[in-house]
Amino acid sequence: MDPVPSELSPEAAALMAKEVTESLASSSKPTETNKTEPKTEKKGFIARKLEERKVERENRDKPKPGDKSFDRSEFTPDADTGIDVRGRRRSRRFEQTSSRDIVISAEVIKQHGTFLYRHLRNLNSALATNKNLLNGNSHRYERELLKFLKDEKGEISQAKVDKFVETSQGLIIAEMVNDLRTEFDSFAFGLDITVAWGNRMQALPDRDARIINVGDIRREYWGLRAWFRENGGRYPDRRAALAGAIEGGVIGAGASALITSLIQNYGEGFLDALGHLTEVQVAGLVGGAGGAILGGVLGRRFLTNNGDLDFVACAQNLKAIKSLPDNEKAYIRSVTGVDFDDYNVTDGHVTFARAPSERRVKDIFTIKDDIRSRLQTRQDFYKAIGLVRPDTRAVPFNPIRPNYEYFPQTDTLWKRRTNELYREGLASAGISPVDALGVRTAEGLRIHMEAQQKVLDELLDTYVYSHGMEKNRKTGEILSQVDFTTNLDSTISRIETNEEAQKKKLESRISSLGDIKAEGDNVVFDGQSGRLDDISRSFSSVISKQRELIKFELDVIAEHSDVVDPSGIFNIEELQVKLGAALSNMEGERQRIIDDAETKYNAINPDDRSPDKSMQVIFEARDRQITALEDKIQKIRDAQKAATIKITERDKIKQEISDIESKIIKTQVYTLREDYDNFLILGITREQLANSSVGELQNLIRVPDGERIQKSHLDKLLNAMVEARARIIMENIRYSSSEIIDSLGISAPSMEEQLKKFRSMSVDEINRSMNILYTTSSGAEGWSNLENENRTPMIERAQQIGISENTAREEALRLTIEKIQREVQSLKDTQENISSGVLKKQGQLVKNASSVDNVYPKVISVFRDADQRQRFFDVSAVPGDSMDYPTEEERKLVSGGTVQKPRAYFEFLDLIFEYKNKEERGAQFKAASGLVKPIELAGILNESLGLGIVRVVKDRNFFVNVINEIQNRFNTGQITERQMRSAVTDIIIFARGRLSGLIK
Amino acid sequence: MNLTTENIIKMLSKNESATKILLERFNSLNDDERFEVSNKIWDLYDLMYEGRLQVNVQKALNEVAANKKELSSDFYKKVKEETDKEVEKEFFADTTSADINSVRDKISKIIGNPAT
Repeated sequence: MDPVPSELSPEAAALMAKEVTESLASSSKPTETNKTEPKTEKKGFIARKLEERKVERENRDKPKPGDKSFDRSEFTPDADTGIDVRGRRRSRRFEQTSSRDIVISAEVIKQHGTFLYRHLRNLNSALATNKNLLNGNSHRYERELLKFLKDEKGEISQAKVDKFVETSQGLIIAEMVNDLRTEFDSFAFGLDITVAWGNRMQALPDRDARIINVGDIRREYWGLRAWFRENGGRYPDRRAALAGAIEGGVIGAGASALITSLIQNYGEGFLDALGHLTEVQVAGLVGGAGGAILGGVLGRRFLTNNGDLDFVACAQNLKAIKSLPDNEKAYIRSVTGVDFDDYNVTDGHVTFARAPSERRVKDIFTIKDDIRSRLQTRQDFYKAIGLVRPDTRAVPFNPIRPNYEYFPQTDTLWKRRTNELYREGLASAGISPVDALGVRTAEGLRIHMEAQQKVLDELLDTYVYSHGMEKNRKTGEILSQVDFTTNLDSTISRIETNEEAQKKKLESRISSLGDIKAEGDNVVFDGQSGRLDDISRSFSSVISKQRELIKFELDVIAEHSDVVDPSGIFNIEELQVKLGAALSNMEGERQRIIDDAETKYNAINPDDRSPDKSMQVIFEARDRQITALEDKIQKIRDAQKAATIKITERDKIKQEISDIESKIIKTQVYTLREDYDNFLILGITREQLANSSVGELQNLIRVPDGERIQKSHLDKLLNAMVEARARIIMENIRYSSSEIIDSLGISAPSMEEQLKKFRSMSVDEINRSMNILYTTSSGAEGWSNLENENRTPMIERAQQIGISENTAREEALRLTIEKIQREVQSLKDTQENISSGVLKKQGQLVKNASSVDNVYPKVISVFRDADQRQRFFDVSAVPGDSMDYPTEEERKLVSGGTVQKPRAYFEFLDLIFEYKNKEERGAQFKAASGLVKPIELAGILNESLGLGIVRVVKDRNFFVNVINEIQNRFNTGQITERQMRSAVTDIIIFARGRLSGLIK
Repeated sequence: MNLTTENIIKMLSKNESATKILLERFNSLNDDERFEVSNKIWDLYDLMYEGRLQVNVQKALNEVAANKKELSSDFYKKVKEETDKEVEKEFFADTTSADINSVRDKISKIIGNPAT
């Protein structure tokens, strides 16, 4: 019986079906095949054997003890049940296995458990020597797995891992990690054969300049038989291998044997990085290398397939993988045993970078065994979930080895999600899929890895939440329900019982961070001496001098536009040249006038001369012309003199810039760089330095004696943070000044004209254009959001972007100071909250809201009512003297800060925490607004309702955009009141996290 | 009837004895457990409700197409009210549809009492 009513929506139906299936699965037991007594009639031998085989077949398909049932919808999107309309199973095996329920054998689960256990155990041991190995977002899921799969002694617990892989998320996670490992290992194989082949042939293969088919290797082998024989005696192992392969008596042995030989002569590994090889093919090569006859047999199958080796791709991708951060390389080395620094790329050839004795810790033959066993586990897993197509035996699709023609048939939910995220990532980075596998491999690889990590994170999130655990949304730390409750309770009690200690602790943190205050337009950071302030001043000074210089040159050039055409003049020297040329022309003109007058006079017949009159006419005219010309000449001479003086002045400015820059580079910039490098050595990544708060970094970094980083090291940490941000900003300054002029579409005959035109653009026009061109570390901050900018600096900035390193550092410094300022403020707020009892009030508010019956029915009823819900969509800013929000605390929030405080924010707070009707309304409001800030509220609604609004840094309209979008969608039926109810749940969960200290 | 977690439990219990057991268990949970469980129960209820609503909206639209109903400005509001009534009514009926049964089973599991 189908328990799902046919009229339900597909999503609801699927979920219902799952629920019902689960409940049925828990109550049902495997039925006995046939309990009726067999008839005692005597059967013939053949009939008995047929009967036995039938029973054996039936038993084979039955679940065994330890096997686990799952709903297939947890793994694949396929809807086929494998049963035809008459209720008969389809004959083809893979179709039979497409039933709704799937059974994964105890053995497959065990293999995944073993694999994951070993993987985590490796990580755990590697962490003992490199505690920063798993820093960064990319290893979040592994940090989480290590946290809850460890036993009390801090060792990975096989029992816990086994339990974990009994869930669909656990199995999928193990399978994905398995794939990742296999990808790296298979790539190492590919590199080895590339080295070996390159060494043998002393050149890349000719065909298509990059590709060689393994069939060609075979043909090469036949041509090299004599060479084998000649070299045979020197390598007994190789001879044995050859013997094994040749004894196979099949043609495929050629490839294996050649490879074996090549490896033993020139390298130590062999095949294969090929994404499309089946495990049988890999096994064939592997077997052949060991001299097994099987290698030959299986090798033949290999040759019937498209076994192209892409040498160029190997080289390109090696470059990409070698460009990964050191931490990532250390991670790969730890978990796979492969060290990609063993290889080099020289002139397009892959070569070994180290002597054999110094190469990777794990030998290629062990890697080969690992690949083989993992591929078998993989194949068993795919078979169990009903994907038994030949392709599923393949080495997993490998983004580090492009193969444009390879489309895996392993259509699983996680693969779809990975592809979806990968495509989104490429699109947002403006990379075409073809380029991602070609000229922009490194970026493609990074985006693909990020997509995989994200999917792993999502899977683990699903597991965590569905198993009653809570998670710190910011750090990813997982707590069991018990931990969470304890945390929540103890936070409140700790604060209540130990307020003084808390205060002291906070005071010490605040004091260690120093104090930041505003002095005029400058932010001064007192706590860590005036050094950062000095840097800021020096940078500002350089920038201002540079602006002065550019303006000066432009003014001088513009001033002389009446005597020379300024087109094509970019500096004063060029102006001088043009003035000189003009002067020389005019001197020539002067002589010509004199000569012309002379000629004219001489041309008059002396008899006809009326001397007085003719002389007077001709020479008076000449003198008038010369006088006019000399005026011009004098002007140019004056301009030349002025320009010469200006050059001296300009050079003085240049010298000042040079002096300051040299001072900055010698002292401050050098120190920034040095401190930054030192923190990288400690294993902290650039992103961590740029994005974490001082407090978070202090927690992350332990100095050798195990203490938190001390005050004396804080200035170094701050330097490193500034440098990290500066580097990110510099990366994102994508255009030089001339490119900007070009990109703005300003066409004019000269740079001067272009700049003039640029100046004539309206502020809006410039802002629009610059917003497109200018991005910052966060990816999308628009030019118009930069503070203290106006049109003139913009023009100069456009010129300076090419020399913008200092600008970037100045901005990074500002960002860092602002961040620390916020951190200090947050600590002060906490301090204030403790003293004023706000924390206790927050505890009560959260407790009330957590009794969901106080909130949920109200949410549904107010959002159902068109009149009532309007106030939650009201984005008008609350005036400072509002009588709707009359308390001092409410008004204070309205007037403070820079972000708009629309009415909707107050209404949402009241909906959830009911602050308006309580005594001490103002204090209650303060408590509630401390739990969920406006921007956080908007962020939760955005995420929970799947609005997809991208928030750029300093986006003052984010809240308004989110609320407007909710209103639009609500009015068009795309959001229901029940979805709002669910979003409110997320807000309550967030407030609980904030109160318990899980969210800072 | 007000929509509260306890009422949802009552509505979705198969009989009085099941109601009693479930409510006892529910009330014995600590605040945090109760928060978790309440959310799951509301999620389930909402899921089933949304499914019903979708069906009813479709039916109502069919009636509009057949000129049996007017597409007024409070069209959705009315359909929701009808759905509320329908769901509430069905909760108290002896025989219930499969979707409600499956929610019943699930709620029993969430609170920790196997479906009977």
